[in-house]
Amino acid sequence: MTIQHTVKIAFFVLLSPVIAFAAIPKWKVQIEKSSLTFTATQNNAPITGNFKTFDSDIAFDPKHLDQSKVKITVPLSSLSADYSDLVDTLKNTQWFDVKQFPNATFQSTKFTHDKDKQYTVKGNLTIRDKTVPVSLTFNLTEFTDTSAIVEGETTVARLNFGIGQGEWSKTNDIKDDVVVKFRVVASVIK
Amino acid sequence: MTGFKNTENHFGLIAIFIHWFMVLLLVGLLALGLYMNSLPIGLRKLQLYGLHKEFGMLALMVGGLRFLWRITSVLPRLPEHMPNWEKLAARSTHWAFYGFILVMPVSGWLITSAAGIPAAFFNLFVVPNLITANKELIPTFVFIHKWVGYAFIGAICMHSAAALKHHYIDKDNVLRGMLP
Repeated sequence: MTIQHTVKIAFFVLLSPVIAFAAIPKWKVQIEKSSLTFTATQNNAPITGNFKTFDSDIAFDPKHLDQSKVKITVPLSSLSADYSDLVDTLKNTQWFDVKQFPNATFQSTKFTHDKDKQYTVKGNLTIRDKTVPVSLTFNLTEFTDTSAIVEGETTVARLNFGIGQGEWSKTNDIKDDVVVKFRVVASVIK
Repeated sequence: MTGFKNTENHFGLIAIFIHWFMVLLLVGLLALGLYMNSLPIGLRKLQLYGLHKEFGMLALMVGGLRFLWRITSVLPRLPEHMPNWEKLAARSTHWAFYGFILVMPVSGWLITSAAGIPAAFFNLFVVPNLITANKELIPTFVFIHKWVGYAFIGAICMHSAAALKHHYIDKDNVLRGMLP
């Protein structure tokens, strides 16, 4: 084995983690085409709101799920609904307490492929001062080398995060379960 | 013995029952509406709004049935001693009530739809939204609901005062016509 050959091998061995890392595409979310909504139940009827914006740090490749990672940060001040009293109430200290806890975050821990276009991602959701493991099921509705559309939902128990304190922690009038739906349109970062 | 149907001299049991049921329901809704609106945002207010919406839908349904009964029934005659203007005022107020019983629930339903906070009808079904949520329209529907509500209270006072006048001053059978 020549020295030249050894150097060549050493070079590729050293570089391989970089190559492997580079193989996972990073994605940028097109926020204007994406949505993040939540639907709670008040007086046995649905009530819906949404977050107008969120930041993301996404490395995802369906062929390399073990190396895929997602972190989503939602500024809670972007909460929006059709009724302004509702928005004001949800931002106050008994609900999201936006002043003290300005962001909610989701950090993925593990991706799995369920079937066809369906995947599940486990991770930790932090809202207010509580972190709870959650599992999100999503469909890779569209996926090419450069663009992707992801749609999914999960159900979270609001009281696990202390959302709705004091009298609001009763679940007769506002149920504990809240359905969170997301649609993320993303393009690859070149 | 009063029958189920109206006669030319007396209301029937069905009209009488709906009348007094609506008295309880509508006076209750108006009082609840004024009270709940004065409350600060809280669980109690949310609960009462939920009740107001359900019972408001009930008023619309029963009001619709009452209207069908009205247009298919004989109407008891008003007493001969009443001048024409009084007869006209009485009949106009009665027709106005059907208008109030339509406009109040529908304008409330529109507020609820525009605000995107639908009601569940006694946990049987979720009342569908009449329009898609639109915060720009909320003040208009609130304005209608509020001022038509005040007019409704005025009309109820007039109707009740007239009934008492017939009974205690004219000493005729008008009020007794609405009792079994």
